Amino acid sequence: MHLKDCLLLFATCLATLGSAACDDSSTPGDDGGPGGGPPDLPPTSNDAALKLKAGFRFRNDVAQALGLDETFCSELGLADCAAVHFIIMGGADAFGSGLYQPLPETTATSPLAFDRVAIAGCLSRAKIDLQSSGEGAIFVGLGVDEDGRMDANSPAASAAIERLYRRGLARNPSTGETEALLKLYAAIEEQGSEAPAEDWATLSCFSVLTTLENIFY
Amino acid sequence: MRRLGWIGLGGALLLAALPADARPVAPGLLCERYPDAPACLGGKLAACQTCHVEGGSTKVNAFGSAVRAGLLAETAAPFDDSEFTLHLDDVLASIELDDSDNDGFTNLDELSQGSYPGMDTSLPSEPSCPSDPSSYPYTFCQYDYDFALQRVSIDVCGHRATFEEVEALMATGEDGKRQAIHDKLDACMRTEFWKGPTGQLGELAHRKVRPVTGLQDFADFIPDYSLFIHANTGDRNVQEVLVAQYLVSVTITPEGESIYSVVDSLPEQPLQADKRAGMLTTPWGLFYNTMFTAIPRSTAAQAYRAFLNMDIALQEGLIYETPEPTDYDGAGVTADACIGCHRTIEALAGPFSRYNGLQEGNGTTFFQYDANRLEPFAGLYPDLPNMPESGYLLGQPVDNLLEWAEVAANSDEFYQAVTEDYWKLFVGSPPTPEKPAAFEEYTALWQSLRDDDGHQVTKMLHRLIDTEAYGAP
Repeated sequence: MHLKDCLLLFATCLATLGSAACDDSSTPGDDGGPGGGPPDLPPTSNDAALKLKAGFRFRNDVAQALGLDETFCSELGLADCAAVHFIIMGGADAFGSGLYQPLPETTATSPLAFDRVAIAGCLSRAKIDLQSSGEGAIFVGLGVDEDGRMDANSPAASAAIERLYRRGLARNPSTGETEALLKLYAAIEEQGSEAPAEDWATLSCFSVLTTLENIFY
Repeated sequence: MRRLGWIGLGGALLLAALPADARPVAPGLLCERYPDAPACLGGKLAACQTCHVEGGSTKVNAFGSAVRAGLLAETAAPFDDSEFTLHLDDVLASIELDDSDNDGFTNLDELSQGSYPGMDTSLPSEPSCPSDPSSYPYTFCQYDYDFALQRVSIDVCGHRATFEEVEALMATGEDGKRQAIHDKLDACMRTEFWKGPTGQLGELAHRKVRPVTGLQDFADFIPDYSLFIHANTGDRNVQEVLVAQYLVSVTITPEGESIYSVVDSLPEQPLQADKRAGMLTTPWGLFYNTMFTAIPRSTAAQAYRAFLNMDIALQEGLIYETPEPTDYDGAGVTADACIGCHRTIEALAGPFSRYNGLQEGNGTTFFQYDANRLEPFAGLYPDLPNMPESGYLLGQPVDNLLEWAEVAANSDEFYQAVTEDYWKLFVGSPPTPEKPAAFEEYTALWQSLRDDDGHQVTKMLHRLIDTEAYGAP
């Protein structure tokens, strides 16, 4: 099993991470409201002026977060993914398409393009960190055994999650966010992954880098 | 000067039944009645949506319908300027306490607070802020340094600030935080993501240059981009976009850095140096907009749209204090259905009429200035050589294109247009009176660019990132 099965697992992953993705230990109501009710929602911005990381911004951020060259994602080995999908990722294309300004809204395929770029980066990072003997950037010291398994309760796993959040979102993970990603490992193992540690690294990375927090700013 | 800067109320009222040469005066009259309305801030006039369902549309909304009904009670349609001037103030007063769009707010409340009284989706908004903003990840309703640092970094550098940068920022005091964000802006403005030929400034220039890659062999548009980027960076004056008599070349170093240099000449840039007017007279612009035409109306209209943000096709920027045009080329511009727009277009186009597109003659080549350029057209249009080179811009007489450029570069409309481009890039949406506080910041910003002796975009951007519209989540 590899990516195909992992993508199936992603539904599980989303369910696990769903509430944790927006969780933050500094948010009031972190542990639920009075009497165990749902946590308070954070206030809504008056301006609601979030912006999409348009054009090359998302690719650049993935590259920076994962310590990769900006050419990390290539379509058919020929062209930079972000350049190929530039318009649907919020860029203008004056020279190629006569589109002088970005589209006013994202398209139905925009999420696919953002996912495409993120998964390419995460696959590369996980492979480099777990398969090569070189210096890793995020998923290091996990003690992966010959069956591709790791101890999700080890300090190294939590440290990897911390590095992932720091590099990806420029902040520390909350307790809930760390726990959610650690639980993801157990779900991956249960699905019978042949390389659960590497799949976990890939999907943890993908989960964090495709949060709204990383796609909008 | 009565200007329909943003087609407005009058257009809505007049165009329902009216001759195309109607002279909408209502936006100005509305702002005379409500001078403190956000829509009238900084000398602007009420926007299209005050009375129309959308900008450029002749269809009126609920408020426009109410105004029209009020006018019909006083006089018969079609209304002329004098009838508008005589009755509009009373009509506006009579419907102030009505709620034309049934959204729960009176027309007066909406006009006073910046929302549109004829649009039920546009409502006055009161900021709702948490009592203790510090208990949330972001300080809602207040300038948030972490948020602002990330915005500057992503907007201008093209990627987010690192965890270490954020930690360092949060460890400093108030002044240190602000300084760190400004330092970040300075550093980012030196990146290729910002100033490279295909960077963010290049993207801002697309709508002005309108490149067509397949036609680049006829005329190169790279010098247009280079001049734009040069004038928008460093300590340069942004007016140079319109008035520069030099050219700018770009070279890329082996390290990939673009270097912009002022030069006196470039290959295939044949225009006489003393006739240059920045991006108004580049070979690409003259090729793409003027081409073979005798009276370069498209060139003038594109300049008006690109650099002053007024699109005549949307009935923006129509000026009525210019002389009746003469129909030199028999195009019918003085017909009732045409003169409403062509009074302005003809006045704008004269100064462009001596610049060759794909013409040559009288010892001049393509893309050069030729004082007698219109003479060869006499066989087709006998009166055309009599068309004067002079014209009008924003109601001011100009003798030639150099004066046209000078008037444009000193106009409020130019500074508004420049600032609005950057506002949309940084804040993420156009400035609108529907957000009065942000609109006040925008107004102060373009006025500061105008009043700053150097007219430097760099300085304006440093002020922009200090605004709450930019830095408050």
